[in-house]
Order: sequence, then C-alpha cells, then structure tokens
Amino acid sequence: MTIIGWVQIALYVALILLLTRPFGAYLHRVVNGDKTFLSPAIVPVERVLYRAAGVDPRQEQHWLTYAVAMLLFNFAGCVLLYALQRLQANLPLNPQGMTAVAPDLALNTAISFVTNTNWQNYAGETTMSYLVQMAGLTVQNFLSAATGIALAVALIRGFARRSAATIGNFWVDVTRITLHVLLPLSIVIALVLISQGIPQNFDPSVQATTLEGARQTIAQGPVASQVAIKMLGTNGGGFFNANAAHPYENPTAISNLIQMLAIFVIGAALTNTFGRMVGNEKQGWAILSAMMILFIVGVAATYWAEAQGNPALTTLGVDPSSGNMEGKELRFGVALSSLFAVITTAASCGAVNAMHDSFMPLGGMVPMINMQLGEVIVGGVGAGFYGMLLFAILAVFIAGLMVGRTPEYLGKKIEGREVKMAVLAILCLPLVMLTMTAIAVVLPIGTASILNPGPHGFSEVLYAFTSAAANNGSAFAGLSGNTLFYNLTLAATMFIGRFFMIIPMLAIAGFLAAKPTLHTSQGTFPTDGGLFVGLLVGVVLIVGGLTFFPSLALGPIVEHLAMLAGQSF
Amino acid sequence: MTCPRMTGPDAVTPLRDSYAIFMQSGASPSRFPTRNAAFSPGNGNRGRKVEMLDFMVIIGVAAAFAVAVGYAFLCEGL
Repeated sequence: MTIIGWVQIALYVALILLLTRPFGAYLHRVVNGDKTFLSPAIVPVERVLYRAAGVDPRQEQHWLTYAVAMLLFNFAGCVLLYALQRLQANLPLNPQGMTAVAPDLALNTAISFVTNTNWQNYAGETTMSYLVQMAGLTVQNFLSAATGIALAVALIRGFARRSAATIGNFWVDVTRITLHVLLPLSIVIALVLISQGIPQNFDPSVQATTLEGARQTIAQGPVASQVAIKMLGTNGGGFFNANAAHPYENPTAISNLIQMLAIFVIGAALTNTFGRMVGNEKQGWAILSAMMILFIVGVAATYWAEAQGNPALTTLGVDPSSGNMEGKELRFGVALSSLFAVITTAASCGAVNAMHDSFMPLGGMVPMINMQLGEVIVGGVGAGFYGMLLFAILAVFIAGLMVGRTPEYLGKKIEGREVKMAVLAILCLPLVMLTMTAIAVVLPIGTASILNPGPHGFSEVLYAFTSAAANNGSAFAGLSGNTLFYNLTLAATMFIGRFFMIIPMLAIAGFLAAKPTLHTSQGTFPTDGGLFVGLLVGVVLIVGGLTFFPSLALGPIVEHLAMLAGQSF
Repeated sequence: MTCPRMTGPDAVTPLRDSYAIFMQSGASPSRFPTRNAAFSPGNGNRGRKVEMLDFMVIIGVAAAFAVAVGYAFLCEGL
C-alpha cells in the first residue's frame, strides 16, 4: 500500500461527499416536479411525451398500480430488446455483419439489461450490432436506471406522506428522471470521455499491424455514449468484452475517475434527496454515513489484500512490492483497481477495470460480500438506497424490541405488515443466490463450465449467482457462462433478484404512505445520530454475515488458507 | 491462482472465443498472440433465424411477469 494510493482513495471519497448535496438538491426538485434550470428546454418535450402516451401527469397511483405499471414497462423493454437481438442481421447499423444472437443468450441479455444487471455472457464487439448496442442496450441502461431511481423515490414518498393513498406516478417519475437527470448528465460525461480518447463513431473494426508484426483487429463504434450511461446508471455492461479495462473504454486516469464518480454520484445524492423529502437532511447523512463506513472498510480490506501479492509468487523470486498485478491494468495499478472493484460492487454497477477473478482470495471476497449484503453501500441508482431503507426498517424493529416499544421510523409506526415485507425483500436475495449456486455445483451441466478447480471454481459459481441476484453484473469470468444452463438459470436469478425484491419494497411504500405521521417524543429512537448509524451497520453485517459466511468459507476463505499453505487454484 | 484467460481447459482445446477476444481487445496486447479469426461472429451468434422458439421465449417471459404481478397482489393481501 502506498501513500499516493490512499490519497487517491481519500480524494474520491471527498469528491463524492462534495457532490452529494448539490446533486441531492437537484434530484429533489426533479422528483417533486419543481422547476429546474433545464425546465425551459425539457418540460415541452415532457408534455409531448405525456400527450403521446396518454398519461395524465397529475394523476397519482396506488402502490399496486405503480408496481403493475413498472412490470408492464419492463416486460415491454424485455420483449423489444430480445427482438432486436434476434433480428439484428436484418436491421441497419451492422457493419460487421453480425448474425442473430442465439435465443438463450438473447433472453439472458434482455433480462440482464432490463433488470439493470448487465451480466454479459457475450463479447459486445463480436456479438452485437451497433443498433443493438445503442437502441437496445443503451436505451435499457437509461430506462432500468430511471426505474430504480423512481422506485427509491416512491419508497421515500411512503415515509414522507401522511395518510395518503398514492405514492406517485410511475410514468411521470421515469420520464422526468430520464429527461432531467440521466440524459443531460450522460451527454456531459460522454463528451468528457470522448475528450479522453474513447471512440464515438459508426465505423467498422480496423486492421492494424502491431510492433511485433502481428495483425490485430481493433473494434470501435459508439462507445462513449454507452459508457457514460453504463456508469451513471450503474448498469455496467461494457461495449467491449474487457469492459473498463479496455483502453478504448477507459483510457486514462481522468476517464477512470470520471467513471468512478459517475457510479456513486446519484446513489449518494439520493440520501440527501431522502433527507430533504422527509424534512430532515440529517436523516440522509445518517444513511450515507452507514454506507461510507461499510465502503471504506471494504476498500481498505481489498487494497490491503491486493497490495500483499501472492506469497507463492514471492517464493519464486517475484518482487512483492507492486502487489498482485495479475489481471490489472498498469495504468490503474493496485490502488485504483481495488477502489474500482469495491465501488462497482458496492453500487450495483458491475463494470470492471480489473479482472476480479484474478484478485487475491480475500480481495475477491470483498466485492462478493458487497453484493451479498444487497449492494446497500450507496448501491445502484435507487436500488441500493431502497435496500438500505429496508435494513433501516429492520434496525428500528430490533431497537424497538430491545426497549419494548412499537418501532417507529421517521414518524411512521413500523408494524407487522412492514416487517413482513422487509423480511420478504431481504431474504429474496440470499435465497436465490445460494439455491442457484447449490444447484449449479451439484449438476454436471453446471460444473462443466468451471475452468478453475477447487474453492476458486466454487467461488466463480457463487460470484455468478451473487452478481446476478444482486443485479450487479460483474463476474469471476473464469466461468463459461454462455451455455443453455447458465443463460437460463442466471436469467431467472436476475429476474427474481430484481422484481421479487422490488414488489415488497413498493408494498412498504404504500403501507407507510397510508399511515399518519406521529410526533416525536422523548421515547422516540433518534435515527439521525451515531447510535442509529452503528445499529444499522451492525444489522447489515450480522444479517449478511450469518447468511453468507458458510458459502464464503467454502470459497475464498479456504482458498486464502490454502494459498498460505502454498497451494494455488 | 491461475488466470483462466491464459490457458485453455486443457493443452489441446483452443482458447474459448471470449478469452481470445479479451486478449485481442487490447488489454495486454504485447503479452498475448492475436487471432483475427476471433473477430468473426462468435458463438453468441448461433441462432440464424426467427423461429417458433422465439414466440415460446416471449410467452415464458410474459408468464414470469404475470407471476410477479400475482406476487404484488399477494403482498397487498398479507
């Protein structure tokens, strides 16, 4: 570990904290329907869209209507993306002459991008036409991100409203978030990325002769526009197979910093939006504090593990001072690769600038834990935030049990219905992650795709289903995922991980919105202070630790112990 | 820990497409051989035409979303 490495990490955290308030204020205005500096340009477009779609923006929805609208919208997106992939050979913007994507892979990809997972069982540059990359994948990057933010806002309204029957209008939320937040920010980020050397064109791949005299094919295309929203929307699906490790997808330290900031900025800002909507910004800072504590511990653990290097290589005479550089880009090094890995899995992004499969056992375990905790550390745009609020409900429930008082959060009584829904949502992820992993590691059709033996092979499968259920999309890429078995099981996992968590969460929003807000008294447990932050962190770690420790013991922990004994996998 | 991208499943089997592409895509071009063949459509593009299976897939997806809608009504009733 180096001083400069720590300075880079500290700088990143400082920048995120600096951006949280202004972005949170802007988001607050957008989701409230207030005027912003972009309104003169965007509101007319918004009105045209509502008129064309037959949406009355003043009409709000009950949580069930909101949920059904969200499901219909995602179903339509899924069918459209599937059709685009299957028909790409007959559609324009296909200079490489890509043929139709196989049905199982097309299904996996459609579910993957609609659920904001962006798990990719394909290499973008050799599988997808430019039309599919832009009109299919990039469009879903926008819409799935807007869906996540809309859902988080709906849950916040549940806390903020008193005795209300509605939680907002899904169509209005998605439209406003896309037009006022995601689109303008993506344009700015894409232009900055182009300035750093990321291509944005419709040209076919070119042939080059390397210094060694070999012929090399260099893929290009509309890359910058996809990369901008893939980071901002915490989607993570790369234009290229190597994702943000590819020099055309992440060429410089500046592009790397911009991309890392883009991953966290909306998720962090949502905590401030939350505080503003419930009338106490300190509530938002408390949630963000819990997130940042978990984040910094994760970064420190990964950086430490990666900086140690592999002792087996040290015994062979390799200088350990540069740490574990296998699978990492020289232009990023150990510190920025570790930081990126923790950011991308703390949020539900899944973009990678280093190969997580090549991380040290404990270094690779931290990204896995981040996802297993439900990506509540800043989280995906919206998704992480509502995940953390679910844990907050559990935390105040536990606090209420300890003092023998009906739990309250933000003036709302947390009763049996809310706790049932919170438990359903929180249990959904480990249930699907662990069940699917267990099925895959006992069936020959599942183990046939594992390329590494022993605990590392197990980790590859566990990571895959963890990533899919948590809608992250990053991979221990040693697993060959493009098989019928994995395409179908991972698609099912992504679907359950997304929608079977969202629905109980929306139910909580509806239940809470209908309740009156109680006045605080001396007996009210304060949820904007250090005690609540500590309790929240404890609940997240205990629930995650108890659920996943056995599976982690079979994978990265035993691999670490074996490595210390001189055995590598 | 062996990075699987550097080795095939065994000494005979060639590198799978995705790994060859990773090498070619420039992440570490000087360390690996390049294969132009890997840039022809890969094994992701196995499906040649639209068929009945596609309609079955869409019906399956519709059924999954219908289950999710049912789950929402179940949650309301709990």
